[in-house]
Amino acid sequence: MGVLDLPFSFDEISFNDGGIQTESSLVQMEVENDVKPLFQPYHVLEENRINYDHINLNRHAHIKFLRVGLKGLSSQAVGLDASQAWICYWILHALDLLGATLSKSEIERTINTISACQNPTGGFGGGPQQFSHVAPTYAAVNTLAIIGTEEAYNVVDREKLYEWFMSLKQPDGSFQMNEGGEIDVRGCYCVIATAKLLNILTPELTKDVAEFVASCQTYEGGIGGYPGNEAHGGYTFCGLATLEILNKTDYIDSEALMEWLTSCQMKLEGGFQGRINKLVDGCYSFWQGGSFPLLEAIYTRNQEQFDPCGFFDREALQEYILLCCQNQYGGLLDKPRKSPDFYHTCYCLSGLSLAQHYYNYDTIQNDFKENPELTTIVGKVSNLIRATHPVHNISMVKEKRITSYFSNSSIVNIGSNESISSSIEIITNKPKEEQV
Amino acid sequence: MESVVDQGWADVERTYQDEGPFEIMPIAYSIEYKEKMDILRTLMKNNEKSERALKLTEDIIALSPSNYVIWKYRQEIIKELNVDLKGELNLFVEYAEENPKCYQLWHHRQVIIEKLNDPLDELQFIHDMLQYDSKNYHAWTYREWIVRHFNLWDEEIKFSDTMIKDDDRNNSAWNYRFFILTEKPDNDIEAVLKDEIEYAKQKINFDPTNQSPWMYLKGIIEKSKYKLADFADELLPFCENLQKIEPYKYALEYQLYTNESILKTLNSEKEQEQQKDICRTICSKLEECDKIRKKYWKYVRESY
Ligand SMILES: [Zn+2]
Repeated sequence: MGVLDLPFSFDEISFNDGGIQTESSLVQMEVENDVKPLFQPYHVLEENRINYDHINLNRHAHIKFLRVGLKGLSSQAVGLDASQAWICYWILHALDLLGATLSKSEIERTINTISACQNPTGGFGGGPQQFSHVAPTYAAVNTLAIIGTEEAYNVVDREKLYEWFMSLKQPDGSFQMNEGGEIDVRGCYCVIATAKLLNILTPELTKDVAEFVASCQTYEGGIGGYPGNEAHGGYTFCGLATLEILNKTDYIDSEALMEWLTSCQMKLEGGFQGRINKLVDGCYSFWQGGSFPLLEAIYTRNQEQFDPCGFFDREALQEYILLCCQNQYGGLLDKPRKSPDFYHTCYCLSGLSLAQHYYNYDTIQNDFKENPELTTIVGKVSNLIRATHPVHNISMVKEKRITSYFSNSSIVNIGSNESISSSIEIITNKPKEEQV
Repeated sequence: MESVVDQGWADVERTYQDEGPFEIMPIAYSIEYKEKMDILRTLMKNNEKSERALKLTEDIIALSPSNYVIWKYRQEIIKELNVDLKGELNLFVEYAEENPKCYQLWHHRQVIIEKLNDPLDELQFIHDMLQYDSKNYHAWTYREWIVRHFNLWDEEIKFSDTMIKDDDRNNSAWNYRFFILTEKPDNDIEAVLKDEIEYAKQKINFDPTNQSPWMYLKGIIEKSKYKLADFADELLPFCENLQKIEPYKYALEYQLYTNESILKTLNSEKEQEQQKDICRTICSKLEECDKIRKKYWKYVRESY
């Protein structure tokens, strides 16, 4: 499959406005006009076409782009002052996927900076001495997981962090992003995914979370940020991944979700839009692409028969990322004409990883297993990057390492409430299906 | 080093950012930002809630609008000082035009309006913001909050229509229409269903390739007490008529869901088998004309 292989001219599969121009159709056609010349040289109908095998992931340029970031950011980056933990995660995860090894100094400096972002409450701020917020907390813990050393893991004060998470919990099951902050499905994912990695999921922490997430599924089938909001790729991934961790994917209509999700892959560009009638964007390669392994896991558990390679066009997505989202000097981007940044570099590569690797859901061990026989690589064989974990978006190896590290350590002495700590002890060391 | 801030801060000690002994990814802060942050940390540590602190937060927000720390501190100061809350909203306008997707800005506005306990001209304000970007997720989310919080449902169907008229492919406006009709207290979907079906059909006739009204049509019927099958007599011919010239994938999709809905009403195995054949045929057509979703349609076809 893929778009380059389709024996039609690109004009035939272009967007057709039916003679009715609106803001939406005009910008859509602009994007397609940017994409077509990038695809054309490789198109199956093109005379003297360039062989697909030449499509290249510019790995070294991307590693260099990311490494320069680790050395230091310019004064232009002041707007990201409260996103330092995020940038650490974006850069380190991207480097990890690309197979780059961190130097001893990079590891030490990262642990140092992430520790400086930690507050006495146990949460992490976006930078040193900034109060805690669940989004940078998720980014910080993922960063430590990517470093993957005992020293990194031990930065986290799990008891305190747990108490802080509990302090953000709302009566409807959701979480505030910070004290007095906004509430949406991101908060659920950041808290639940972090708690899962650290083995601090308890019944009181997870209470009613699935109900809240399910109430955000819209008539379109996707999930919005808050009940009533429009279905959106980012929130859909966050909601679905949360339900997967909680073993409560049956709370949503997975058929409707699949219907919506597949309709978000663009027929010409091959990448994903985040919402209906919006434009393709490289970062949704992960946010939308990432929902597929999760939905496929549901289908597998329900014993449905489907294509062994899953539900979306994995070649087409890789074509978009490789031909339209790479900056020649390093870094990846939203769409042609945009500049590269760390966020898009991270999520384009994460999406690329999910499109290359195929995950089977192992119903005995209740976990995602990579199936190397179904790996699909567009372009050079050397384009293959590491497999990312479909729930946590850190590499499979790093996810395994941190969860096994904490699997044997229950947290005791949470608060003064005896029943809470004992409930934590009860759920630790137990296989997933027995939890909650 | 010469100070970039005025003498009013002479009495305040500086609290430097403590990034530990060695840092990854240091930001080369401008002297101005660094010095202002050094002062701000001290103020926050001392819990100072003053006019000058308020002013300082504004200076820093101008340099780094998405810094949630500053916004939160500002909200704490506002709580204690007798600040002109309406002036606070004007501050928002300045930054919103440059940073329309900043979570903090919108949340701040919500906090202020909640405090004022008055929706003022917020609906107009949001409309203005939507002129810059008619699909701004934050703006739509905020509008839903305003409408819910202040119970301002009455004119909103009209508003959704205005936005849909501007761009009938604006899916946010369609979602909003659905929100108003289904979330309004004491709503009666059955009472408006006929009109809404007509509304969606009109927009589909105008442009059958527009996915938004198709999804809306299915969504609103399924939200009511009826099933898609109940409208098969009207909507299946509607879909077929549209396709006399060329196949439209969303029309085919709608035919499929309606036929699937009919399938669920059938009891005899023979009838069910015939109905499944109809569904499978539609899936095959979709596999042809909706290539990027080929694997999905194949799965659907084989699931019958
Ligand atoms: Zn993006």
